[in-house]
Amino acid sequence: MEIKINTNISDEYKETSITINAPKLTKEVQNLINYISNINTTPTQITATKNNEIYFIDIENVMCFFSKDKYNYVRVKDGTYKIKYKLYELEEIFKNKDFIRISNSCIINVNQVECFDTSILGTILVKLKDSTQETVSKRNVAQIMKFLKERGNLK
Amino acid sequence: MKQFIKRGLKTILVFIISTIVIYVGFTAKDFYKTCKENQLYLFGNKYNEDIAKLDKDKIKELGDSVELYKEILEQSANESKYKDDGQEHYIGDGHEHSLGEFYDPLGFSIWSFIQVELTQITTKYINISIISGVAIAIAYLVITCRRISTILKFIIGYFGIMIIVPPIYMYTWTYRFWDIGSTYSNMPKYFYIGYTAIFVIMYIVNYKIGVKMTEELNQNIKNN
Repeated sequence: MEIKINTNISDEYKETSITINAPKLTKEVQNLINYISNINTTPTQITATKNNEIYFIDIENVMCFFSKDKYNYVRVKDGTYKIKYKLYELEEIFKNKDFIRISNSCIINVNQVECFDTSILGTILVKLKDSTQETVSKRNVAQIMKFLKERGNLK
Repeated sequence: MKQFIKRGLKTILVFIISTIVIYVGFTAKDFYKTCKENQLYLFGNKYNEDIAKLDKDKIKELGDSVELYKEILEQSANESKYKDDGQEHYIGDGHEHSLGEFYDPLGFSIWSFIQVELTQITTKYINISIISGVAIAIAYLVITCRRISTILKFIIGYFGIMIIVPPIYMYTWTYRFWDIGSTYSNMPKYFYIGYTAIFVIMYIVNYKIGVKMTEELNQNIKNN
C-alpha cells in the first residue's frame, strides 16, 4: 500500500490531528488507524522490581518479557527485572506496539531483533541485540510472519 | 490442557499413520515376492506370453507339493474307520476325522496352499508394524518436546527405542524373554536399519522446516 503523506506544520494549529483520506476502508487502512490510535494509549514505561527496589523501564529498551519458574521478568540491556504483569496481559497491552509473542513463555521487542537462526536440532532461535537468544515456537511462526508483514507494510 | 490433548492426538495420528504405512509397505512387498516366487503375474499382459515365461521346474515343484498333500488326504480318507459305517459325520462331531473325508483332496490341497501363503503374508508384519509405529510415535514425541535437551533427545529417542523394542518384539513372537545376546542378534536387521533411517529422515525434515521458516522470518525482519 502506497501512502502519500502531507505534513502541515504551522502555528495556526492549536492541536495535532491526523486525517486519513482513502477511497475505501481496507484492512491496511484499518491497521493504520489502529496503529495511530494506540500511539498515545500504549504506556511508554513499565514498573519492575529488582532486590526490593522499584524501577521504571522504558518500553523501547525492553529486549523481551519472559516467564521462568512461575514468575515473569523483563530483560533490558543492563539486566533482568521481575514484573507483576502476566504475559497475556503484556501481549494485550502491547499488541499494536513492537512486541510479539514468540512462544508460551516469551514476548520479544521486534526492534531489538538482530536476526533469526536455526539450532542444530531444527528449533528456531531469535538473536537479540544484547547477544542473548530465545527459542521461537513453530506454532507461533505464522502469527509472527503476519505481524512482521503488516508492520513492514505500514512502514 | 488443550495443548496436551492436541499433542496426544498428534502422537496417536503419527502412530496410526506410521503403523499403517509400514504394514502396507512390508505386506505389499511380501505379497509381490510370493507372487513372483509362485510365478503369478499380477500385471500380466497376454496369457500366451505369460505361459511362455513360466519355469517348468517351479511348476513341477508346485504340483509335487500339492500332489503330496492330496495323496495324504486321499490315503487318510480311505483309511478312516468311519468311511463305511453308514452314519452321517460332520466336522466337530467329536470323532477324529480326516479332512479328505469332507473335502475333495485336490481342491482342498490347492485351497490350503493358497490360504497358508496368504495368511502368512497378512499376519507376518503385524507385530513389527505396531512396534515400529510405537517407536516412531515416541521418537516424534521426543523430537518435538522442548523441555528435553538435545543429548537426552538422542538418547531417549534413538538408543532408548533400540534397547526397549527388541525384547518386546521377541516376547510377542515366543512368549518368553531371551538372553541379551540372542534378543538383539535375532531382531530383524530391517528394524535397526529402518528405524535409523526414519529417525534421520524425521530429524532432517524437522531441520529443513526450521531453516525454511528462519529464512522467511529473516526476510520479513529485513523489511522492518
